Amino acid sequence: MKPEQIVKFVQAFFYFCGFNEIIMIMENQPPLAEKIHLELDKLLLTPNTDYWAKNEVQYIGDEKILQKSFQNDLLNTIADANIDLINNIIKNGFIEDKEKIYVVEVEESYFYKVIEGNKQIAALKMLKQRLEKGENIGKLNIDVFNQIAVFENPKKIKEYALSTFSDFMKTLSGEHENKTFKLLFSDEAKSLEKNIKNHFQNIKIKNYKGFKDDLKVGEFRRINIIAGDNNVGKTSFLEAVYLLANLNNTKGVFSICQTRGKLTNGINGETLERLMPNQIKISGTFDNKDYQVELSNYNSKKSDLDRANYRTSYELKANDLKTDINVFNTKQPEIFYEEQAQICPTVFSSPFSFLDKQLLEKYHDNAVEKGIFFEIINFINIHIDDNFLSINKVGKGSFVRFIVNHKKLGAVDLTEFGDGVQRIFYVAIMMASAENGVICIDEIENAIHYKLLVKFTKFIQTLAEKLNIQVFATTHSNECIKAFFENDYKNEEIAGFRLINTDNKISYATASGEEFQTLLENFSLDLRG
Amino acid sequence: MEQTLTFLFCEGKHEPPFIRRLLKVDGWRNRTDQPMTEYPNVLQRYLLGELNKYATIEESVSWTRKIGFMPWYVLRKRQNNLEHFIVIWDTGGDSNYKVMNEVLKSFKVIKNTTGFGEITSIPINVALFYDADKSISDRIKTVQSNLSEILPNFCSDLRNEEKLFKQISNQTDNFNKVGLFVFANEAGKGTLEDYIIPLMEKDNEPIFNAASDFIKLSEEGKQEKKWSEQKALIGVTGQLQKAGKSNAVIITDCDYITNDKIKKDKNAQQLIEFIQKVID
Repeated sequence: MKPEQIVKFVQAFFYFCGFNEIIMIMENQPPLAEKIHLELDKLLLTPNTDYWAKNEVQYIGDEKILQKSFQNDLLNTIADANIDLINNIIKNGFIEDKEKIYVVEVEESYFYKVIEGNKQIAALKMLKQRLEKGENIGKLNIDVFNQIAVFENPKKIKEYALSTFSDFMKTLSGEHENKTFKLLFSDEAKSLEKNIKNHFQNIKIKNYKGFKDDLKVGEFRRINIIAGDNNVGKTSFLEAVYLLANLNNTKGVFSICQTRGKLTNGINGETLERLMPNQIKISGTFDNKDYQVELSNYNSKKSDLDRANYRTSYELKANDLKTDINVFNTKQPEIFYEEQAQICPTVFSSPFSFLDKQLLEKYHDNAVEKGIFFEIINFINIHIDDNFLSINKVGKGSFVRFIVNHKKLGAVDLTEFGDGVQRIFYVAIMMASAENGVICIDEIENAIHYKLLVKFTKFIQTLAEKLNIQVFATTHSNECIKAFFENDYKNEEIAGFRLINTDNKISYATASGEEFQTLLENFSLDLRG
Repeated sequence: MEQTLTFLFCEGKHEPPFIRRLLKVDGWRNRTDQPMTEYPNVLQRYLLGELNKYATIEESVSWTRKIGFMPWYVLRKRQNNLEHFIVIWDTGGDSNYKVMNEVLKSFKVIKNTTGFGEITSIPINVALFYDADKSISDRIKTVQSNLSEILPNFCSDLRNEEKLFKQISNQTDNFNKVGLFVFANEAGKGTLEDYIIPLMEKDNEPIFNAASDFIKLSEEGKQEKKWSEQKALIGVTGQLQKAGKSNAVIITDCDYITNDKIKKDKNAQQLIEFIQKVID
């Protein structure tokens, strides 16, 4: 763990304890860690501190950590999972400082707990046991057992065993090993389209989830409202737009897996395989150019794969671009491509999915950079709560938070406010990251009071126009659909689509602009069906 | 049974009762007082939508009395396995043409609305009825000026070729048929009353002559006549049968007009024939 990560660790602790101000103070503090040399026997293994960034913390007390039986169980488990590391040390020796080991002192004892580097310490302890049994430890210099370089953090911190601790305990008791990994994907793929005039003009879904019969939907406008019965495929339609826009960028499929799976923490290979669509075949016209994306599932025959951990592979083809994805049980997928590209910047907003804080930070920064952040605060101030003075970003990456400067309540975390305020804020800042691109908003009306819908829809429309964004939004609210027209802002730019499932075949009905408005207002059309 | 829908837009308040009276002779039945459930789906939805727009307690009683733009009559006739509906509107004169345009604009979209199952697309016809007043050509110019945005193709097709002007265009401006009928006498001038009064007067000449003389009494000594002598004639004679009633009621109910006279009247038959052609 790097010094700055130690700081984050402490921040995490204070965050969980509710001492938010200390985190802010710590933002500008240099990391404190001192290099010392200790005997290997003085070091105690500590479960799962590597995964401190995850949620669902569970405290393991010093009393437990000091138990010899607990240490033996930990040692066997960690060392067993790192046979490769042990063999590597036998072969090459132990290189100090290659990966820093961080420790903290256990109060009223002469032991230190390892808060980073448990794998290395476990490997060394295992090799020490082998040496004591007279076994060969190869090139390992035995001096390391008496004097190993570690970094001590002088702060009195508690270490936390996190969600994976329960899995770890299962391992101790002989149950299965169920390691997870964080699904990572780049949000920086190259955009192929820049000066966009028409955005998506049509989309043809040949194969994606319930769409099996070459459904071609067209005549899109800037604002596209998708409605229909439950389970008819509205969200899948949004996903299809999102997947096509992302071409061979793995962000497309992976973020949909995250949204569908409502993933907040890690994922394992089995879950990823379950969430990944087996087949995707989507094409469409964007700014007068034809694009297509195709995903297929296969078993790789490559010899250099980690076979013991391998599950399956996917090929993501888009026009002349290609990405191969190898999925493993307990580690990040391997991704191979010459170039990852997307048609345009695309964001997906769902009220039901976990908001990735690192992405939120990026959305916020973009909103500031594009000059719309003030408009967002202004909107909230005028239409929702005139005590909102500002919203400030605090922290970074996984620990980013938004603190509202409230005239009456003082500094309050945005999450303390209603879902409606949060939804408006998040959707609006996301739009900044969809400039010259597409935003897909699932259940756009979710959490927003009906009286606010006219203003909110107009706000979305004005942002969409200002940033040249095409909007695809699903809704279950007829009030919301009407609000798009009642706000009287560029009604000609609005199209409505009703998805219809008849005997498992999906079709659609559509109207746009003035015609759509007439049907709504004069013929009581309910787009939802 | 498949349905058709025909809108008759009339310039004033007197055309609807007169046309309704002619159509009754032609076998049309009044369905104005029936529940809207029997009307074509799009008509139901439209009328209901209009009512809903104004059904608010925030409006005054006097305002709601003029609620929306609702038709005078809805008539129905079953013919050749089709159920035809005629809806007669009073547009309120030339100055109110925008209200009519709004109705036309709304129904123009119906032709293309095939995907939304609850809104049934049916053939829709439109017929417009105006007085020629000073000349047919002036009337056509006014129609073109007022309707060219909503009915551009029809307006550009209009030609002043007949003194008794009537013209029908097929499949135009998103409607099945659009027709224009101008009330005019043989000189190419005139009004609806040139059709009504001969019908009323026939077999009732003594009453109409006396009424005409009576009306002239009031004109003596006046420089400028600010009222229509023809309308006055209908009113004066009508009071003898329907005391206290308006001209519209008189046209609807008076005995001066009979089914037999309508069947034999050339103008009335031309008008019925025109409507039939719009519907066919």
